[in-house]
Amino acid sequence: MCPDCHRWSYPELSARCIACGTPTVPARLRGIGTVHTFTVNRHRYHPDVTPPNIIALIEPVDDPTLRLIAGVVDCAPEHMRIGLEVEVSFEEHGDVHVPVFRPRRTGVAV
Amino acid sequence: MRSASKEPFVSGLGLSEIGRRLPTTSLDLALDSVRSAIADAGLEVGDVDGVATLGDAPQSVVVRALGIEPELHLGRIGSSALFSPFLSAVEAIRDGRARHVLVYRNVNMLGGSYDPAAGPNPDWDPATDPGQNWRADLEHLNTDLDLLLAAHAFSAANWFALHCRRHMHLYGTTREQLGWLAVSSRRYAELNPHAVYRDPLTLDDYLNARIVSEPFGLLDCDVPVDGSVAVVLSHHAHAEDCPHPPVRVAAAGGADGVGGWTQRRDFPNMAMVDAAAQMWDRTDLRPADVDVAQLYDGFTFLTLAWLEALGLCARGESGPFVDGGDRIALGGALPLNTYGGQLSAGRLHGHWALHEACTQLRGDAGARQVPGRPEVAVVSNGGGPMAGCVLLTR
Repeated sequence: MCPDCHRWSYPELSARCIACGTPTVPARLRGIGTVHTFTVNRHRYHPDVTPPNIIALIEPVDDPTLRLIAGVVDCAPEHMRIGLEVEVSFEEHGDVHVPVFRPRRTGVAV
Repeated sequence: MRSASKEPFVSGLGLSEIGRRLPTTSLDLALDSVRSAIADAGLEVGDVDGVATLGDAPQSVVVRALGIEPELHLGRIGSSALFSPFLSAVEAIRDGRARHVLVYRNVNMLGGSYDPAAGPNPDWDPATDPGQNWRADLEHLNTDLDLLLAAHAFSAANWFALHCRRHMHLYGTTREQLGWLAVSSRRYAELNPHAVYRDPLTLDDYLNARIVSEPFGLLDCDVPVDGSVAVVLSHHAHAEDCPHPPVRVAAAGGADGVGGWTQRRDFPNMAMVDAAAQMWDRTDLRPADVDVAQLYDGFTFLTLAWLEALGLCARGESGPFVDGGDRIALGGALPLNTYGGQLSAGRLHGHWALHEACTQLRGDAGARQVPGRPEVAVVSNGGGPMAGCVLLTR
């Protein structure tokens, strides 16, 4: 994130802010947001991924103009909708932690 | 402004046999289309002094088979995505670098090399095969592709479903409206003997098809085929000897693709918005002047998005525009994808659309000819970060 203008660097990490040129610093997103759009995939494209699987763009509360690309888990396809409140969770794949989102379960104020 | 009569023009058109899993090699399909186009232009094979292509049949192999040694080899992808070879050929003739440039696009439905038995050819030389690495040419547009794959969005059907769902949310676009595009395309395909799928299709058939990635079902997706399209572009001096009325490029547009597949600030807009704006900036013609449209339909939704990007209907109005199919039918205000589209005729990466636009402007489209002698056609290609569009006139 840019410490001056608070613009996030996404999807690619850039060393400097693309808006003002200030060197970026790592920053923590709060991990909650809403669904901007989504699709329920029903076709088996990969032997290790069993459909239906949900893919979404997530607007984090930190900056709703950001759109995080992520899978959505623990949600029945019929309950998916644009505007759904979600929270982050991490799937471990060896050394890699992949962020996914699931419907928010707590009423913690944002 | 240059006089239109001094501009390069489309002199020849050729189409190979087209089908699913054909036993014919890509080389033979390419040669079939190429020889047809050259003959159609009223030329001999030896008249060709430039070749432009990208895709499955390398031009070094095709020119060897034709027995010619053209000096000009084109095929790098510029800002106009898959139309770049066609447009670079127009430029080359305008600049006096060639007189007759052969442009062809061969597509192999299962991908692979020009001859499935032959494997990759170590002799491919960028100087004579500039279009063989076209996928690498597009790599810089894939800024968010790794993240899509990490989220298990493996297919373009997944990516464009995200755009389509957002469009539905913003504007009330429905699956039935997407379906009318599929139904309309099939009605045209019934009139096109070269189209792959010609059996009648109803809206119910569309709605009952297997879901691929919501809201897309199987009939929102185009049909992979084997085939080849060829076009010959010629210097204006050839116009009098050409057996057909000349079709010329009035304007073209491309885009830089910034924002990748999902990260444009104005999502669900895509690069096509920029390409269309650039094209209209370069001509006095207006969207209302368009008589027939051949818009990219790798997925139904992409055609809706192109209708809006090109200003052929208002933002958010593409669903109602195609609803019921009358407006986009042969006798409607804007006949659309009159060869049957990639949805029913077959996926030749936007080049069949180009071929059809020229055919319509010539008045040679037979049973599917747009009435009233169309004078202006628009053709578009691509989705996501890729976009190219061309305005053609006769």
